[in-house]
Amino acid sequence: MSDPTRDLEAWAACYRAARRPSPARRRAIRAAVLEAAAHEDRRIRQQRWVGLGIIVAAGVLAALAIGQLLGGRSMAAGAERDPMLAPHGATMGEPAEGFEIRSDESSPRAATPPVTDSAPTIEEPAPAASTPATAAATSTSTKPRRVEPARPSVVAPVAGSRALDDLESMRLLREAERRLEHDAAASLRLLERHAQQFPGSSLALEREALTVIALCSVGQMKAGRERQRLFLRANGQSAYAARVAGACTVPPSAEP
Amino acid sequence: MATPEQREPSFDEVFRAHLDYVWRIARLLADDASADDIAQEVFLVARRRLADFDGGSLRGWLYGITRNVARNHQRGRRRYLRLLERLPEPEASPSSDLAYPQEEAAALMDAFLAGLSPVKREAFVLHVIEELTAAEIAAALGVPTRTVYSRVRAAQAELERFVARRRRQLERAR
Repeated sequence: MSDPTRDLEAWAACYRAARRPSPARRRAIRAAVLEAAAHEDRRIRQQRWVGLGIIVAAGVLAALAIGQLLGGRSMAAGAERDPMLAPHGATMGEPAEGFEIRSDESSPRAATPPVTDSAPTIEEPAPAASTPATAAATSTSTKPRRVEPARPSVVAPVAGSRALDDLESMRLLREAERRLEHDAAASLRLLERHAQQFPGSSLALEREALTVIALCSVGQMKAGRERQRLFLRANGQSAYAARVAGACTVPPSAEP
Repeated sequence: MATPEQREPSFDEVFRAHLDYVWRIARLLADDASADDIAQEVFLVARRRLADFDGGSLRGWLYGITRNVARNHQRGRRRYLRLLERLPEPEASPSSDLAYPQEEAAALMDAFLAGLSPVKREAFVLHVIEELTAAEIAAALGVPTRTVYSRVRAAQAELERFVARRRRQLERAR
């Protein structure tokens, strides 16, 4: 053997040349990084949508609340300005009898802090804009009464549900992987459930790799080997290939 | 702050230029079987944080990421060790088809590195094998430059003793 210590630099160069990933491993790492990066980008985009949905929903709720408040006040003000809108006999600072009776009702709305002048209008069910009085009040009030809450509140749950699906998908797969060691049958059931619930999941490759291992672990060697063959044929360069390739081997003594 | 001349490297450039380096560090900090996974994770983190890179030593920066990822990976890996025991041996060393003397020299270096303390190994590998400057290593490890030099010197002294021992063993074998 030559003496490599004569030139430490040459020895180090030799070491660098010998200790590096093979081209196949380089390609596999690169592919895995790109796949994970794409998944990460998708997740970030989804999170942004969820965040945006939450902000929009919060904004709409705030606008609704303000609208209700302003609407109530303007209705009261309108009632003060226009005797036709006021209950019979009501004058400024002097609530009408009818409203006095209603304000005594022990409904949940009675818990709202009382507003002296506008107490009757707070009692008025604001969203029901079909009554003439409210319609008239709407015409005198401005923007907040015109807010339509329905549209944004649809956006948020859709984006959120996708993110939740992703979380559930990941959770299910992690649980399957965790159980693989001690209870491969349970792991297999979870993987089947995952396949049913998330057929087009971005984690399908990992699921298939775990399924191969789980099938062989529970003794379904024929099915396991068949799926192993298909997996390696289609994904021979994936990060899971080495693990899958070794999944269905058994010690020589165990072979029939 | 990067000047126009020192433009920020793209992720692809970083990956191509430093995969071998990161993989070797990962292999030393963990093991051969984990090196691929760790390298993958390191480049994911690097991709995420490349915009925050302050323009110092890129290899020092990557070393810091690799060390953290390897540490986390090793923690998680313990849980799977028993599962992995059921799997066959990892694929043959990527260098197994190399010329024998080169592989032999690399194996000898591996044997030497395995006997070094972690701090000396870290300094020796980064300085002698990966050719980082003492200043780069000091920044990456958060230690003074003179500490780097003293660790490298101590590792080199051990290398001399290691080689002398090997030589004696070879002579006895003849």
